[in-house]
Amino acid sequence: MKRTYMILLFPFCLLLLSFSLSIGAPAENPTAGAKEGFIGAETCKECHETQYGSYAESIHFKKSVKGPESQDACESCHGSGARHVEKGGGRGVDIFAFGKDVDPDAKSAKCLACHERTPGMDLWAMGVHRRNDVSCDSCHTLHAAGRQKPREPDVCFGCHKDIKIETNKRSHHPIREGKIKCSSCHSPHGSLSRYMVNADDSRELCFRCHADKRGPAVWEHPPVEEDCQSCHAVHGSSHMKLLNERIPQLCQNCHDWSRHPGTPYDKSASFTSRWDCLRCHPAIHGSNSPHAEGLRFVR
Amino acid sequence: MKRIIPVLLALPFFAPAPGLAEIQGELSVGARGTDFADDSSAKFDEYRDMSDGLFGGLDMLVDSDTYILGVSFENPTLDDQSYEVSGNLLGVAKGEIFYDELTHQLYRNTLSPVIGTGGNFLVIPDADNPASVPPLSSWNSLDYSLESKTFGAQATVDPQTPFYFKPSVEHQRKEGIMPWGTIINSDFEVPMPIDYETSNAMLEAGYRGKGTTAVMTAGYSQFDNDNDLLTTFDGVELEEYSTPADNHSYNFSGRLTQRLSAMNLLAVKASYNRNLSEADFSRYLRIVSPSADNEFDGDVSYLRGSAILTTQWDRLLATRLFYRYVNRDNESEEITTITGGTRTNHPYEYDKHQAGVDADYRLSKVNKLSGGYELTFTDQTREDADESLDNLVFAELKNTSMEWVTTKLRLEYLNRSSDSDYSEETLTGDGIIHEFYTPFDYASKDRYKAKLAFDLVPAENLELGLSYGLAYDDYDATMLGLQEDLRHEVYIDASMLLQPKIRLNTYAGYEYTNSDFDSRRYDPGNGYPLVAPFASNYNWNEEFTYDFFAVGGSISIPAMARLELVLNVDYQLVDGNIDFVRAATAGAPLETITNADDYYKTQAGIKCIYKTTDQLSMTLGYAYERSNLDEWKYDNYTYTAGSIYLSGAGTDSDYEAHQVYIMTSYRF
Repeated sequence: MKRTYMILLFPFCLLLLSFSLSIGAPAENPTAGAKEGFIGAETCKECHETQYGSYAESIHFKKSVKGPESQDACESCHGSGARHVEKGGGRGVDIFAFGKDVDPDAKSAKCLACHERTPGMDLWAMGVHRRNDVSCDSCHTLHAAGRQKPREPDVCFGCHKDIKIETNKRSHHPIREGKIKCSSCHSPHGSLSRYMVNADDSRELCFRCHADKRGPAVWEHPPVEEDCQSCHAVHGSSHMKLLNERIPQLCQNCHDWSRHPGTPYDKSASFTSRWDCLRCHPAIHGSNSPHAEGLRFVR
Repeated sequence: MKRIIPVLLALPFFAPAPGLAEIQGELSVGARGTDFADDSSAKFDEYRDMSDGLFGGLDMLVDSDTYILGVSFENPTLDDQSYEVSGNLLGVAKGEIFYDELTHQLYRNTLSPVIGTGGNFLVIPDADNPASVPPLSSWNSLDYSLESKTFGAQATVDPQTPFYFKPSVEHQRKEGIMPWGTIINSDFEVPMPIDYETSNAMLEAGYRGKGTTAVMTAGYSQFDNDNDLLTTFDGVELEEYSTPADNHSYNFSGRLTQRLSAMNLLAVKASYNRNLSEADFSRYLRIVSPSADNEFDGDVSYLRGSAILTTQWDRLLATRLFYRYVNRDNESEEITTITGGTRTNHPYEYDKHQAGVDADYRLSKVNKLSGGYELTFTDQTREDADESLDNLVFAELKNTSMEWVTTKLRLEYLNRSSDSDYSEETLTGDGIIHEFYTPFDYASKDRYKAKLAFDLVPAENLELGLSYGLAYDDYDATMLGLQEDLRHEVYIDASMLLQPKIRLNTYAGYEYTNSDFDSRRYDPGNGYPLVAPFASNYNWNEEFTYDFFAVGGSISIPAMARLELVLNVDYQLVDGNIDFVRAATAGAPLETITNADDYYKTQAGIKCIYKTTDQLSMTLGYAYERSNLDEWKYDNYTYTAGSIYLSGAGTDSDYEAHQVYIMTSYRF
């Protein structure tokens, strides 16, 4: 229990530290003096007609939205253009461009100037995406007309190439079929939960569609009660039922007992004994039987 | 649901100020025919309705200065139809209502002598009297499948005030049958009826002040199962099998994000979640209820807390301190069985603490170094895994010194030490194995992980991605159980602009997994593993290896001014192998399984898109799919083997399908 107390000390230290750090400099106003050298969108349009055209079709162009068009149009995001014009233009010449070589935090800061108040964005700064140099424009097309949400799962697969392959394995969730989106399970803008799932933990997430597994059951199977991923590969698997491993290997990794649980089911095993564990233990997610065999998930 | 279509189509015309609104979107209508060479496999159309005939959909936006209205639907005549109406009153509120049907084909054209398929009272032959089992030729054909229908709505009311609200509701109905093993007296694979209803409701309310965000959520979920019990009757005896019990769950959470200073951001969250269930034992006729009130009351609650402090020390250094806590409190009823023996359930509980720190430091403009430490302590009421302590450290380097290459290297090490709650004195009989056998999910181990990834842009028209990953788990302290687990992963992808309008996207992946496992096979009373092996009582070793390979790509070629060709191909292959070893004194050598979940899948397609005008296009396409599963379990499959009667579920995953389709799309 000594270890427990030591671990419990951690959050108190964290709280103490946070208070001590809070005696810091006040937040600077990022927009102070930012309007010097503004030239207006009409000037930008003279050279950037295509970009202006796509901007004009986007939601950012709407005056009813508290966005660029209700502020300083192009310069709301790209900054003042006077010196850019004076120097004869050119990509990134004294202007803020959303190029690949630009600091991702700087790019996101432009968007967050307005979108920091968007529900859920308060967790962006501590999210996994931000820490891995993902910026808003990595997923969102800022000048596009029509629907503004990123096209899932293609946008996500752009970086998560292993997941892209997993979702096409023999056993998979219907992600490619368009019935589940990445954002059905994950919060790409940040979450306090692991893997950025949009639930308290991955089990609670699974129960939204698989509430029959929620229990509480009379006879519980501890790995089921702790983490669905003990047995399941959620994005896709080469084994049936999205399992991490073939049965009986998966079950035998935890279970040994006299007779059949510890028997090696090699190629010489008879047809009747080669059948998988779930054939006789189907209530593996928990049994509600008042019979003693409920313990073994048989009934 | 068909009646909803005209309603959806009419919606835009009822939208406010239509004169100022622009309507844009795409309407697609097509027809297809499929030659499904072996339609006994449900794998081809596992999650999609591939019926011959019409398909298509609409995706439409009504866009004005003050609102956006979206209407979309897909495949309204098919079993995978979906509908969505979304609205955004700009700067005030947005929301959507949706309806979605999902078909999940499990196994098709299986056979069963069971009478009463679809219900929870099944009449089966008397397996003790083989003469009563009808010949296979007279068994009924049945398809195992599930169909779920989900409808719901969600909204975000976010006016120009510090407050916002996000209500959401969802209702899902799932129906069908799935295979279920019954082994008491009559050993039949029977169709378990699925009639589930799940309703979820959630309300989120948020406040955003200067540097402060506070969010409260409340949720409720209810699950109802129309089948409290599955009963089989073989003409002589009734047997009863439990099904998932009705349950409901509610939760509350509060989250506060506070900017403490320009450099510090603190987020704290606390949540409480309670799951309750009720299993009615009074419905059992053959099993004596172990509970005085004829029911089981399940009651599990979770208390969770988390805190993260993010600090941006300066432009170069950022750190993150975090702590998470989960407590599972199980107040479910303890019962001691009367029928079948005396056994008592042990409600499972745990406490988990997780704390850590990580840091990102920009060594230079082109180098970023990250590192961290994470500690997890778990204390649970599991005899085979009492306490465990994880220590995890990682380091990551990102380099962009060459403009056209981004390199990432990540190294990770985990040490887990765990112990069980068994005391050697109490381990007797078969239970003595617990002194030597350790389940893998909580076994002490060392895990090493490494990942090296390159993103390359060697030319303006070429983007390449290369990554290699290694994961190695060493269960050094385990005598019996999983010993080693090794995984290699290689992924490659490329996107090339071959000519101004010809883009080729390709990818390849290779995954290798190898596990080494020791166990003991023994008859009752012979669990002690440190004795010389003899017939039926021996230790054995198993090594399972899988090679997974995937490759694919797509290319779009503008063949003529208005004609575009799109080709795609995907192929994947798995080769699984399981080797066994036991001592010669234990018996003949064990035989290697060379077809452990072996499969291949090929998908290919070609389509010609001809743009008649800028708005109207015609698509003529051909798609091909083929898949084959080679698994030892299904070799020489028989529906009846001794007193076991199977239905054929899982035996036929092979298919080959050709599909031709024509589609016209109108963009407006």
